[in-house]
Amino acid sequence: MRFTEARVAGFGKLIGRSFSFSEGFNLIYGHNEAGKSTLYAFLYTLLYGISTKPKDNIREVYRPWKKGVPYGGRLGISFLGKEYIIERFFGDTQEEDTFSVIDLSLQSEEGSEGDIIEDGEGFLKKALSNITRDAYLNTVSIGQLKSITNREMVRELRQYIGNIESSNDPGLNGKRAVQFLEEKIATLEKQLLPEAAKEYASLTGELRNIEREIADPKYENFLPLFLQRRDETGREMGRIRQEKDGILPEMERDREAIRRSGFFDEAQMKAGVSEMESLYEKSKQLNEENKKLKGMAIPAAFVTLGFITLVLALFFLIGDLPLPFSNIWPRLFLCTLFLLLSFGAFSYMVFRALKRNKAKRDLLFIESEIRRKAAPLVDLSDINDNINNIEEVSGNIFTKYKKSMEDMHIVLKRHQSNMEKLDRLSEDISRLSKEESSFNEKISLQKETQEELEEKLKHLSNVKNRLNMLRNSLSENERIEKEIEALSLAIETLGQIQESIHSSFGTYLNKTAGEMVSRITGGAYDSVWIDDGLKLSLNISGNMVPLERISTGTIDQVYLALRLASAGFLQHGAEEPLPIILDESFAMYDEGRIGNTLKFLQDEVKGQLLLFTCHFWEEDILEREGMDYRLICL
Amino acid sequence: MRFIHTSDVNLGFIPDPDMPWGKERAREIKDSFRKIIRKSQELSADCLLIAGDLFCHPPRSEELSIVNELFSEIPSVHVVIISGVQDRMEKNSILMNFKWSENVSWLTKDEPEVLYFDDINTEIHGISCYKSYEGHEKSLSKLDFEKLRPGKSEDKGFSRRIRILMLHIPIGEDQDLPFPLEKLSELQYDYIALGHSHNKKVLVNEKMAYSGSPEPLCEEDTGEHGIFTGDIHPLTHEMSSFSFIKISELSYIHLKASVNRQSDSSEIIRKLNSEIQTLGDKNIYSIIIEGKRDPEASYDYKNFGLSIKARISSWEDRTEPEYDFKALYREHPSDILGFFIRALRKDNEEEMSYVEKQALYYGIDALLQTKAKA
Repeated sequence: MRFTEARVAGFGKLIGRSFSFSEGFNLIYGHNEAGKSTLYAFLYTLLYGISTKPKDNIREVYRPWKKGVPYGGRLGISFLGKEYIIERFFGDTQEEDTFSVIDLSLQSEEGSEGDIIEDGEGFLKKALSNITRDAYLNTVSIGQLKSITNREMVRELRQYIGNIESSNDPGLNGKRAVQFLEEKIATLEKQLLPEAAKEYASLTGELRNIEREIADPKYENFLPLFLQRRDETGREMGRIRQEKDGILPEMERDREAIRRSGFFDEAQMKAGVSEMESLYEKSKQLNEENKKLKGMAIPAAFVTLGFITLVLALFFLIGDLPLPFSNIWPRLFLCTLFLLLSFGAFSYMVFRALKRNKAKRDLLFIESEIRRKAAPLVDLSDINDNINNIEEVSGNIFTKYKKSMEDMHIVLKRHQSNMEKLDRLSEDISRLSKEESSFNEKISLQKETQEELEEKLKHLSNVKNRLNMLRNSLSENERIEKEIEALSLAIETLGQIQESIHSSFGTYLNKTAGEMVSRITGGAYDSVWIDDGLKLSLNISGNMVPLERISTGTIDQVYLALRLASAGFLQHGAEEPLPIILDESFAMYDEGRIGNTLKFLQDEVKGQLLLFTCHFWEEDILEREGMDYRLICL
Repeated sequence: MRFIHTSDVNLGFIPDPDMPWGKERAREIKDSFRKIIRKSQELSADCLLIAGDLFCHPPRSEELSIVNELFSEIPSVHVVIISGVQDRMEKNSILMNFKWSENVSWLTKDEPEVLYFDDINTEIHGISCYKSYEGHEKSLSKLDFEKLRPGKSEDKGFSRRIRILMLHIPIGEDQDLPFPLEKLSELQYDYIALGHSHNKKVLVNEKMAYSGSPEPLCEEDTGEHGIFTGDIHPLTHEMSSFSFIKISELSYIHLKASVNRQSDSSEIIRKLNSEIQTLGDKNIYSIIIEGKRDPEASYDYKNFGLSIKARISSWEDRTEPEYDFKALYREHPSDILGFFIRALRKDNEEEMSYVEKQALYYGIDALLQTKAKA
């Protein structure tokens, strides 16, 4: 972009002035107070308008000194071969300011000078290669450094570099943006629930533990088995009891029979039988005796004998007997003899009678003994009580007795075997009962274990539910973490860019400005070095000299070089370079220095150059060197 | 023979547990189960087939008692249950000795079992899930596939038995788990009742199906939920009246709202509300907001949620700020903004990951928001 002309309607001390610029070197000469600075200000004000920054109170500074004169003017520019006019007029406030850009190549209306471009601002931005006002004032348009001390200048330089670094649009601030993003991260981090992840992990661990515990073989469910076995045992016991019940009545009866019989064991029974037998034998004997004694013959005989003898005795006593026997003593003897005999016969009869009675009595006694003994075993009502046939009766009784005894023997044997059986069965029952209770124990233990298991299952389902609840929190956490990741990536990228800007700018500056410094100073210095702390030093044959130790004039040149380098950096890739404006930049220079600088400028600046000055030196040198220039006098 | 096929009831499960309706849903799951029992009665079904995951965890005896009580009210229905992955069988399970009502059978063996019901001349084959799911897979793959094949020896004359198989297993189109689809179809069952999928799916028309859970359990379970029922003719073994009966009164529905630069949040709310009205406010909604928005607008659920009168289980803001990158770049060709865009943005936006895109937006937003006013 180039300036073609400037028509100042009213701007500070400049009222109704017009200037026309050449494509190349423009030397604008004016003594002090002629209005150079005003023109300088006019140029950037027409380009950028009046700053709204309260501290730059430009509006009043450049209000036209003459009243009634419109505040503003027109600036003609050429961009990409076409010509335009920027027109601005200013009022008391920004709202009253007017602005338009006129395209002189388009004339849709007859007689008009050109068409007003719709997006004037946009066009202007393009023409200015998007360089902002501040950047423009820092680079392209280089004002006077003014007289400041070395240190201040250095500081100014440093600040300048720092500003440039922070980009074309100093409004954009990487550092602030990073801060902004970091605050966002902090807010998000507060929303994270780190406990959620921890609790999830611990609950998952607990879940695994419980599942492991549940799978423990001790919880294996033997309940059905035990129940089955216990029931079997119970049924077995029932069967045995039934069996017991079966034999008990029989045993009762047998016991009763045995008790009644009075014989409690085999030996007794045997003794009983043999007793009975002997009684029977005795009775038989007695019966025989009785029978013998019953006979009447003998008693009759003896009675007869007795009587006869008695008679004889009497005869002999009192009777008349033949002689042999008439003597007393043979008579007495024979009488006594026959008395004795008779006595003996009668005695014998009595004796026999007594014997017979006894025998009878004995027999009866034996009989009754037999009966008595037989009574427990034999039903005597059956027996035909025929005393005449006592032997038969006894025999009957004895036979029956023997039979009964045999029966009783059987009963006894049966009873004994039943008792044994009973014992066995009772043993079985007690054994089974123990088994049953052991199963019961096992069953109740199982039930306990099952209850324990159920508790664990309950706990398991609770843990599962809690895990479920956490899942949402976790996915929310994940979402937040993703956002934090994105924010961190943005911060990282910004940081990297800042660094690379810094370093690329630094490198570029070091290289380019260094070359320029070398040329400007006529080789006095080789290069410039800007370190990370933005400290400058100049390089003289390998020695680095900090800027503080260098003369003001040299610093000025360094400043110029830096600015030009920066301007080049910012316009890198621009379609048309902007004009470089130097406002009394060489006030501090001596003639030699000016010469060097002018030569340098001629080589360096490809586009338009506007140099404001208040001395003739520049002109003289330009003339001398034969350089092309246009002189504009204020 | 009329059957009812259901599975994955997941009694005891609390859907959306961190949402206010979580416990209500848990109760609704139980109520739906009662509904199914009533339906079995109403339809005079002969069999109620529960193909796994009746409970969402290995059941406890009190839970079994409650369920048994319900079953005892339909004594004329044969209830056959197999274990799923959640309520799997284990050696220590109380299912081994639980005393069921006469009409109920829960298959507890570690290998295929057969039950025969004389009154309907039907064989029900099935196998429960044992131990962990991987265990089940392994055991199923080790299982001799032939064991699942029904024997025909019991068929006498013309009275061929009706044969049904119950399995709890995933069968996907692209999974080569224990059995691919074709193999199962070969087995000549009159019907195969499957469990494990929350969503219903008929795999082979009227022959093999997942009944799905009778109540939807999470956001992904969209669609209708209920039970299958069908009649199998005792002689021809043809299936008639195979139909789906809706049990659940609500569904999970995914709603999308599109925004653009001019969208106004109250408009979006209005649109969403009206869609919700049409679809029913008993349903549970997942809302996704998409589109390119004004960079300064935000679709934060917390601000929105209060004005939408329905249950919202999730809210996703997928909108992207509409930055005209070309314009931005033109304005800031060689400053930090320009460099930033150059550093992160790829020509083909599709290739950028979510994190990269968000970083780009965050950075631009930060730079513009912290820009000093000129």
